Amino acid sequence: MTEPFPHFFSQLGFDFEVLPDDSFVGTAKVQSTLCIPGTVVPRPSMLATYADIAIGFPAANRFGFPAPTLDLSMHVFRTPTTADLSMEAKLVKVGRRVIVGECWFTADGEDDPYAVCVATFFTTADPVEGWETPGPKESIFSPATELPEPIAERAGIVVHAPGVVEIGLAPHISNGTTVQGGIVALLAERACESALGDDGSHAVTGIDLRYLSALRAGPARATAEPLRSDDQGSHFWVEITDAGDDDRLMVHCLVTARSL
Amino acid sequence: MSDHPHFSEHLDFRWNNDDGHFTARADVQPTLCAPGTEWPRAGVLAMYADNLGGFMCSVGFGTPAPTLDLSVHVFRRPSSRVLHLESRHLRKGRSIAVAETWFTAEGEDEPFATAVASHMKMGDPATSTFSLGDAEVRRAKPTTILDEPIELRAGITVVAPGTVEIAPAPHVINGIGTLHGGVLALLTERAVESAFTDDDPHVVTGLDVRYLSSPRVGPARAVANVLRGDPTDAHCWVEVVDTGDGDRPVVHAFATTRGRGAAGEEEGT
Repeated sequence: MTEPFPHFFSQLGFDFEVLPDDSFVGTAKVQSTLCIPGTVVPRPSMLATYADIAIGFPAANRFGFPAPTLDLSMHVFRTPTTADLSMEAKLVKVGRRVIVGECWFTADGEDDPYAVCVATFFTTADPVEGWETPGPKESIFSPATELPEPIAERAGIVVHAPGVVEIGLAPHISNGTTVQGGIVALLAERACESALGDDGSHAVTGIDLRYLSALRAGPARATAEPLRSDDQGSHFWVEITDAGDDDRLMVHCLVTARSL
Repeated sequence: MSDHPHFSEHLDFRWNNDDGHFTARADVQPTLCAPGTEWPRAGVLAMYADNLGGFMCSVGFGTPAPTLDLSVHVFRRPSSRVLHLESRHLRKGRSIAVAETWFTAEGEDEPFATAVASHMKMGDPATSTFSLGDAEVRRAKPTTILDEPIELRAGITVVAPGTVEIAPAPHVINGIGTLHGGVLALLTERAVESAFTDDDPHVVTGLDVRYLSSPRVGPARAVANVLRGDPTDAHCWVEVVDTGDGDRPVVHAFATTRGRGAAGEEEGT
């Protein structure tokens, strides 16, 4: 019988700490298989994964319960010189039901950040006494494992046609309920890359995601529609639906890409 | 005290609610466009989207629905200043609704911009009802000509490059008495524009605005930091605080721009 894949969190090279003031500091040794192919730039969707944890864990601690991500915007505004990075996150709005946080990414050896993520978390659940988020030494993150193939392949993303990609729900990419939000971002990213010909000439630099509902039946299908494209870059509108549940809408997002 | 008409009277915002299907038409005045261009300001598009999508979500909830966040993306220049808008629900939950609004120029088939916003139900419909009555009254009025740029009329002042301020005034507030979300988007846009020199002007083409709290005292101050920029395009981070309330955070926003020269060469502006 084939061994199940380890959860992709164990491939993030992630070390972090949630501080008493609900801020978050972390570092990551980013494997090349998590980067945009042929570059040392971590995929924006992988940055979104780190940010989803960096903002989501303090938010969950505040709520006393894990809260789903309502929306997430990831902006990469400069090319880092190395893949390894550090991050700092803080909560900028703490309401009874809504928390907004931001997370800034800085490449190792650099002084200024090159990317920022802003995300909103929302809950209607009551707090659970004694509940807390896992630490970096707990089983989902540790022990760290090698990822010998590109994350998109390991996640099981399949290109059906230019701009149309699919993924099924699997334990190694799950958040316990549905496909983890960073993998959903990866699906959108891959849809746009395939729409651009998958020739490595462009890279996604911005993803503005709205999480509308969870994947229940599967597979999730992402369809990227170009809104504008020229020498400077492209804008795509991406819809992700649950193909096995009558194409129920799961995610809407706007993606920007630049030529490399 | 300001005796200016409310800014919404300049928007020519002819909205329609056809059994929950919200559409609108607007003839955008030149004073609502980015200076020297035919691009309706991203902040002005935010005003339209905030209103149309906000109406739709408020009607859906039966209560007011304040905006949690709003993203506007302009991906090309429209060929006309007469715009058609259409909003629809992306998500209609018990407490949170997400609205998308598409902007199409008259005479064109494809949209040139889109906005997405999250709105939160405020209160219980039994005690906190929402009515489109005021908006219907406003819609019935003729559009008031705006003879100066919207940012001047709104009272936005440039304190330093990248730093702008606005004081709450009757003509720029919303129904609950604080600065309108679209006006705050305009404030962030002006902060970004002012961060660039006259030799290197930029047009804001993307705004990702998070509303953190309402400015209660004022003035609200926006500070734009250029994260990366060249004559072609730039990315900026903007923070808005309530200076009269201990610099309490009001808005955080990420903005994208295109250099006016690059956009003009390409678009024939």
